[in-house]
Amino acid sequence: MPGYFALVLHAHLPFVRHPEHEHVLEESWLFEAVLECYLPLLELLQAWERDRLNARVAVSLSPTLCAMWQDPLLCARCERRLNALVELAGKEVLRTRWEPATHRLAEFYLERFRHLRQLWWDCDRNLVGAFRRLNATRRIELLTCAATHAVLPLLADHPPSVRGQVRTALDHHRACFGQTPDGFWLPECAYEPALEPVLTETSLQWTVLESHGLLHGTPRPRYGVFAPVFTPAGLAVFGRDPDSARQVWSRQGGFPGDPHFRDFYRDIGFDLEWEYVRPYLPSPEHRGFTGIKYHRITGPAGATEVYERDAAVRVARAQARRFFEDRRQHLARLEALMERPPILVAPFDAELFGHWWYEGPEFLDALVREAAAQDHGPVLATPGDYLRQHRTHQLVQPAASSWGEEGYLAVWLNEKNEWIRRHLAVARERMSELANRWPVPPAEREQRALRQAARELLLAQASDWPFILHTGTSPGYARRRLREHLLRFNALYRQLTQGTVDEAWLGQIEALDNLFPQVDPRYWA
Amino acid sequence: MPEELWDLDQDYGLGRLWLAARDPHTLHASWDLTPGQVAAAGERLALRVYTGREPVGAFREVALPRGAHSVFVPAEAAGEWFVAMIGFADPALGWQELARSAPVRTPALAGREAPVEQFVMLTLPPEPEAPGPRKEATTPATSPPVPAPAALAPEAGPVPAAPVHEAAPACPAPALGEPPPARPPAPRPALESSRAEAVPGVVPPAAPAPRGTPIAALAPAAAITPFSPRLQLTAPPPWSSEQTRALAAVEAEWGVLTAPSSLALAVGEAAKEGAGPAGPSSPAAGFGPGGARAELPSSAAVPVPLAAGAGRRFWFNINAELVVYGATEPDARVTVDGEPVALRPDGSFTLRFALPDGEYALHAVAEAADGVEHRQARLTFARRTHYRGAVGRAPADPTLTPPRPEGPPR
Repeated sequence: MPGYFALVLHAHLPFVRHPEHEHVLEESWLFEAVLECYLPLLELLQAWERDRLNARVAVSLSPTLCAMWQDPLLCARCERRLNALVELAGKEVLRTRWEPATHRLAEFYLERFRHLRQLWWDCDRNLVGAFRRLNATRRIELLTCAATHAVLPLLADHPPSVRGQVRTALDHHRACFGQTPDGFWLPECAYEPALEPVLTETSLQWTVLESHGLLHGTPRPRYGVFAPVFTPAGLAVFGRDPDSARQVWSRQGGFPGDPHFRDFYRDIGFDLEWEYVRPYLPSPEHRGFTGIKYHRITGPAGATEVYERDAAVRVARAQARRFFEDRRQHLARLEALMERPPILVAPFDAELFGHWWYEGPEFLDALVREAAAQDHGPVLATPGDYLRQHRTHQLVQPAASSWGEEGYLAVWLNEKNEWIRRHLAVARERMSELANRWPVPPAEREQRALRQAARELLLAQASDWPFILHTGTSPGYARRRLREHLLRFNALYRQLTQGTVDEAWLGQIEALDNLFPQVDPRYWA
Repeated sequence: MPEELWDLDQDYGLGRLWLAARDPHTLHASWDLTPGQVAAAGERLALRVYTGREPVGAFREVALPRGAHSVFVPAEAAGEWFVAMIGFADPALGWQELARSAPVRTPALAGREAPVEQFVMLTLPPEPEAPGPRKEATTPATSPPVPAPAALAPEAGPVPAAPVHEAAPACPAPALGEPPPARPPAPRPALESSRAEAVPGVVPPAAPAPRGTPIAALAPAAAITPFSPRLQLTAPPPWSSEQTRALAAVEAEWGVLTAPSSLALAVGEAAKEGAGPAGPSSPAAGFGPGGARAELPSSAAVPVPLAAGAGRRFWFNINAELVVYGATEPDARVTVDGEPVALRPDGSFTLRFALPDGEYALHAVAEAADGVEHRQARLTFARRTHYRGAVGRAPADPTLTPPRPEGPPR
């Protein structure tokens, strides 16, 4: 047995939905990702199915992302965005007629956007349905993660909060996909042993940790990260293969930085005349990305040369072959050492492929096709597949860890964002107080208020807000969201404890923060 | 606290202390005190951090400024338990505890060696989920209190305080304080009662006891026990010391972390040199304008350009496009160089062309709806640009970084 290679793609965006405004800059996060990541990923998965490839991939879809995929308002706005891009690309084909290299690219974009729009229509504007079908036919193994992508170790001292995140996610996953997942993606790969009682009181069977989560475990695992371990609580834990990560993420020589690849920043939304591009910008008041980019990374001096699509795809495919060959060689060496088939687990953010790394989908396609073409090479499988085949593993207590900077929680708990923690700590305890006060569902109005309180708390716990405050990319928006959810939660708490639920106001915020319609407040008891 | 958050309650008046292990070397404490507690402490508010699960023995004390709500505190060791108390030292009564945290454990930097390797088999089918919420295990902590160390290591450095407030002065050296006053274990009060105002000068009940027993409470023993009933102990597969050495050699060759300190080193070096795997994280920060450059894989190779005005005092970008516009009968057919042109409902149209240096021509034809009448126009254009100094073509937005100039250097 030459061993296994497991590709795990984690797709997540925070819940951003603003029916109160016609154009909201932050909603474009979803539209950009649908266009550049999720539809291209769906296209790949469907092509592998069509070509009958053995292409088992694990895909984690965050509950907030699925909630947005299912939202009619966001779907309509997403389609509006797709139509606008087709229109803009058509104008670009005409505009660039005297710049041949750019003109070819404009034609490429027009064809690409039309194709993606057709794909959107073909799946009935229902990405949840499309992934549900692929999961049902075992083309992929779906897993879920925390309901709003909370960094769970920061909640570990309050088990009801962990339970609320985990159980709400499982409920939502079942509602979306008609099945209970075996695998659970820990947001940010953030693990802490105290999470396990809540994780293992469900039917969850496996998760993935950053390498040092396993390597610093007790005892250090016999097989390193090349085989899963069982934790004492009974969870199977796979370690991230460091070399797979390094080849892609290395700041020096990582695949996405090849000078042939499309430059992320050089976009006509910034390059062209204001009045021309303004109707196509994510926000009509600000310059922004349109998705039409004509330059390649080029080199240290900046993106000065025109992007050549065919050359870039050739490089991506060559990288994929090299990547797979490295995995094959590693597995061959491990197989000679170990008495059991080794497994290399390579988890990535799904948004890497297509958004940050425009040629990423071509890389994935070539990687999977290379694996499928090998009769006696490594088997492409999910961690769940491996676990079903191999059920005896070492007993190890992994160490607390994450895949963020420095490997722990410094990204989500530092001088820029630590002020959140006190407010969240109070809110979660108040949520438990509410849940304990009403162990059985109260009257409808109070039940609605309890559920909305749970939604507001979950939304405030998202990992995205401290992350954005840390990186400083949209700190105003992150602060605004935190403020809104915490204030709404606190108001609901006061109204519930004082018996003065304002039904009209409750209806308004239910319409705004409308995810997880059946969230169960009893999880916080 | 940012201005737009001022309408969040500044103090909830709960009398609580929360402790988190951020990384192997850093703890974060945040608290929310009752007005009575704040008044009683006055300027003497302090945080005491003990090594172990119980607040006994030596401790690190950090003085806290009035109005502070949080502080980062260095942790003495990785893989150790810590517990904190907030309170103040009364000249007459000694240490007055206001709130106590649940114990937390810093992440381990190395696994403890186990003389016995245990292998287990997953034997039980997944347990069906019970309807409704399930309670977590409520087994109280069974590990005996970890004996307090005789002395704590010297403090590594200043305590980084919460940004909102003045920096909390760090304790210059670990203080060996008197043991906390003996007191019975505090019953877990209802949240409602815990929010009650404390009488100034009277110490309220301690924080509710943490619920559940973390699996991390495993004692460092030769064998891990207990473990889940899902798992059944089996005989370890054969494994030799030669295999151990061979696998270690492979890991070293591939750069897999093998030593406890190698992670910290790798992280530090990565931060300094920009090398090593960049941690992927929230994709949201990268969508839309102003994406998270630092988090991008492509940013590894894409130089982060200087902001306009940074590193150069003046810059100039200029470009030209051609706008061709006209109008005809709304039902007419218009072509430019044979390509149909979309008319607006009023029959007008506008076309835009990039206009690089060179000479160009356009042949426009309008044909009446009945095909009887035609009108034609041939338009010719030329552009010649002469740059003096560093002049670029894009971007058009002055808030953006200009790309490399395309004109000759000044």
